[in-house]
Amino acid sequence: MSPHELGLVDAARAIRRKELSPVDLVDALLDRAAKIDGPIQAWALLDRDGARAAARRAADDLARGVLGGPLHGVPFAAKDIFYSAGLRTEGGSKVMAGFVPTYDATAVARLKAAGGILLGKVHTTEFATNDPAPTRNPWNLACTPGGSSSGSAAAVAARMVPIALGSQTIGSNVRPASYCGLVGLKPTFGRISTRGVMALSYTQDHVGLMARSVEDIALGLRIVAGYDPADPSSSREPVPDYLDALTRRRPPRIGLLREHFFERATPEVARVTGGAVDRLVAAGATVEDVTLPPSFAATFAAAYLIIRSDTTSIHAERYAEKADLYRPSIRASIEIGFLIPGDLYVRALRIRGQFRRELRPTLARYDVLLTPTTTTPAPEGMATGDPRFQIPWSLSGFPSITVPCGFSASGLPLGVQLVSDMFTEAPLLAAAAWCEDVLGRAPAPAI
Amino acid sequence: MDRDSLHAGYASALRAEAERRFGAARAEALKDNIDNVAGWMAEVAMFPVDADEPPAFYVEPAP
Repeated sequence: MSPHELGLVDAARAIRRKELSPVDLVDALLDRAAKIDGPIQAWALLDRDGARAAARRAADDLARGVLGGPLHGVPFAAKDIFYSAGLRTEGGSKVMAGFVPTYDATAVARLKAAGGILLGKVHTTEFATNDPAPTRNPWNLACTPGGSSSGSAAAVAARMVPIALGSQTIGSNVRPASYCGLVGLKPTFGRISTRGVMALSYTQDHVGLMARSVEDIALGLRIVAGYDPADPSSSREPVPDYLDALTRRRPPRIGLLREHFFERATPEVARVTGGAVDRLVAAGATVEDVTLPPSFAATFAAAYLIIRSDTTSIHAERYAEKADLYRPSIRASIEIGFLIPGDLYVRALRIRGQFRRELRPTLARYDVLLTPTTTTPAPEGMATGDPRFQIPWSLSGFPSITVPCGFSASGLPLGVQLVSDMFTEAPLLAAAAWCEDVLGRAPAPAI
Repeated sequence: MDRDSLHAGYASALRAEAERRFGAARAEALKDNIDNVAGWMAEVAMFPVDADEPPAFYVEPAP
């Protein structure tokens, strides 16, 4: 197996056992990017010199018996809204052209502190909204990889890096992961610090992870999760050992969300998802249909009113100076946010609370709720696809994860989305790993 | 008031405010966005939120 094919856990293990040099791994991934990224355009910036220097230091440390942490010498990528000290961070926007942060986002810093090497920054839609990134889907270059974490999904799927940081305010981490045949996690709101991440919403921005297996996500989450005093939304909830949780996988109790989700998916997506559910049942899972609470009906509208208002508040000063530099979609979003009445903003926040409260008894009855991850496979063109199946979990903050479950007739990957209660990522990952065992991992796209 | 009437009323008010803030040309460019937001506003306004439901911001662990 070529080093670029190794997942996060396997690469870290190979380096720890001195079966693989960090220098060889970084070189293999940079070579891979040089060969295949031209038409994919996952990378906004590759830090070739910095990554090679870090790899040499990691190799030297290893030779002296010094292990920097669980990711010693393993590269990762960060969406270009994550601050990276000394590296250009432009958020996919002319508004931020040439911006070089002086510090790392907390998630970046924690991965580095664990021994990880930042290989580079991957493309995002403008400020993680709708104006698309140039990135294409490695499974079919005519298709979007999804967004806003477009480069994160494409880079991991194309085996240019084993794990990437993404973000989700509406549907930006789980959806592109699914479109590209990956595992993608949006943890509980507040589980991973958002410090140093260009903001879109004060109460819906989540840092997410994308990798090619649940095990790799578990290792990544163990490293980046946890309280950060510099982030007011960060939770003090203790961080369990997510890798250890995977040893407790067993057939889960699944609540199936047919209404709204299966009804709004294409017949093909509903059929593939139904087939995946049948395989989970045959393997021992318990599945029951679940009814959504009344407040679910208002989650879509509430989420968008909150985001538009927050985005305007966050961008108001930059907009006043540089309105013409914003691309059309985010500019319109900012302008619309100025017009939303305060009473309806607060009412939307109250709907969020009611939805959380009304759904929790249902979540308590099951290990996970299951939906198709997306309404369709990755669409052709530049638009990044329909995020509606992620919106309730982005609004409420409940954690969600996608695992691959099959393919469309056109050969594009599809996924199932699993949802659980607040701060139950450990059992969520265990259930996802069990589903992954049954459904299988997606193979590499033919590039 | 029914949802469609509320939607239309919000759209009209948003359009007027957009013209005042950004000018007629920009308000016209925002026409579709205004219609979407007016729909969301109507949806949120008409949803029967529990009277004692407070706004929810961050997430705290279950007690």
